[in-house]
Amino acid sequence: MGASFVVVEYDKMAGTAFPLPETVGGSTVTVSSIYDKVGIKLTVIEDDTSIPRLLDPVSPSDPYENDFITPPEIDNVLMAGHRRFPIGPVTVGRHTRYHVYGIVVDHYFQKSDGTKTTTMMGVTLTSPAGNQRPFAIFYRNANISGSNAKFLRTTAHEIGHVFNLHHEDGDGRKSIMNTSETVGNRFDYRFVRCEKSHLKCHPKVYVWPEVMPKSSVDSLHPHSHTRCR
Amino acid sequence: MRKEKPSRVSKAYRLIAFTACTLLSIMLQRTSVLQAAEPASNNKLAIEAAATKEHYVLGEPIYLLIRLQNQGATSAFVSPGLDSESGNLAIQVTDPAGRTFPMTPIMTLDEDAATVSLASRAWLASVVSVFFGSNGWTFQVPGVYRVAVTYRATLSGGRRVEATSLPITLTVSTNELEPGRFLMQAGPAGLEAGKLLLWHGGDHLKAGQEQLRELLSRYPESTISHYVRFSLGRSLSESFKDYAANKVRPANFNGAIELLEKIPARKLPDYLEIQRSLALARSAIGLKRREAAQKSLQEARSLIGDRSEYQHFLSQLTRLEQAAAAIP
Repeated sequence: MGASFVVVEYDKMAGTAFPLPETVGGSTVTVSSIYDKVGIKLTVIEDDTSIPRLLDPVSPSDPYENDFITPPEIDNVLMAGHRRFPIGPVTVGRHTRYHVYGIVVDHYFQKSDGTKTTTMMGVTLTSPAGNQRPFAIFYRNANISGSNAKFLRTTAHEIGHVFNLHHEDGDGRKSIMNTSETVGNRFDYRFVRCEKSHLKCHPKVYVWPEVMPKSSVDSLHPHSHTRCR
Repeated sequence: MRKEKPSRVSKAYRLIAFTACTLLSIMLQRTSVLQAAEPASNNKLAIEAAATKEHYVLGEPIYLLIRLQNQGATSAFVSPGLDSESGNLAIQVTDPAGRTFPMTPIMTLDEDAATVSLASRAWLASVVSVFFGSNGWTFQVPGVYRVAVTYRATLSGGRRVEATSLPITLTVSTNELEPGRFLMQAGPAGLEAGKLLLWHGGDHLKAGQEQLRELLSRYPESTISHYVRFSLGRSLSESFKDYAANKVRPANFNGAIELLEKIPARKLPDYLEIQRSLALARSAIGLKRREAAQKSLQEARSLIGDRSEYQHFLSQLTRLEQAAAAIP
């Protein structure tokens, strides 16, 4: 049987950054090293690094409009934007390469009812028309632009959603899939029990990115892993 | 070939490994039982879901009013995000054939919101859409559906809180089947139309836009047509950052007003009526029509009232009121 590995095409808008490696206990931590610990070979390709932020003439009714991005605009930037590779699995000989897409946007998030929020850090989109699950990071959020550690964690967390992991798979304390609200400033870069159980033990088609439609994953792979706890 | 006999040391190792695995398994089972029971016993949160009306037509966007109340005698810490995107709300739908499935959102959001303290008897409220998600359209055939909502959050320190609503009944009637079937038809156009109704925008969703405009042409007086006019009109009232085309589509205020004013009064749920009034005000401000803007803003303020599920609209309202007041 051939090997499987993941390639994350990571773009960013001009004026933003990619997360840098962190040093923890003398070891260098990257997104790849986090996934390597659970046996997943994942390579991040920092691709388009200067996508210009689109600006509209300032409107009197919404002077901060340019600072925010709405759900359909995120859908647009993720599904039809600057991707170099199509999202999904590619078989090369006996090996399978899974293409994942992410982007760092120079915006805050605006909800579909028009509510502006500055606290949103990241989003993973699930396309009902297919199996794609691209993700975006909101660089304007103070924790993303102000803390490389949280930026790195959020990127690994969003990629966790791409692997069909849920917030409730987290350990409720420090692990990767907990919400930011749960971990606060005390987190580590590890997957623990339920997260590992999903990544290592569930059938590959429910784990690896962009393989199964969300409906199949949700009906066959339980949403909550309470039995792990 | 001679079969190798296991040594005494190897046998001892196997025995130790077997005993350790058995003990670990018992401990894990014990732990899971204790922790699974914990959420129900250590908090007195109650969640309620309510529909905006008794009967819906096929394809009609359905929104639920959610209330989370602390029924305990002391304050409770909760996560403020009462929505499915944050993962705090899990929505289970049972269809007319008796099949139960999760209604999962298109977007999973990660927020650095702080835990809030909910005083005794106090409650949080929100409005959530349940008609379209990552599995496409939720209510695909007429009949009686049951929907239950679970609030589930892990707070700082690892404490898990959970509460499940009583199931509510939603009836999708057999009236006006044709517009619904046309809207939800299989294929990309039907799915894009769902996104447009969910997000009230999406210039890149060309097939869906065409589908919605065709629906207006074929079924101009249908119940769904009000929602379609709202979504298309609301979209035009704002610009759209089209990163695929690398340009911004400016707002079309006249186009927005034309669509939004065609919606008869009280045909949309209040949650959308407020947004309709705000979009009308935004368009009037763009056209420098002060009186029209202020009239729409008054309507929005009246609908928001003191209802806690709509208080988040106040910042938009205030901003638009200031912009309207600044028109000469």
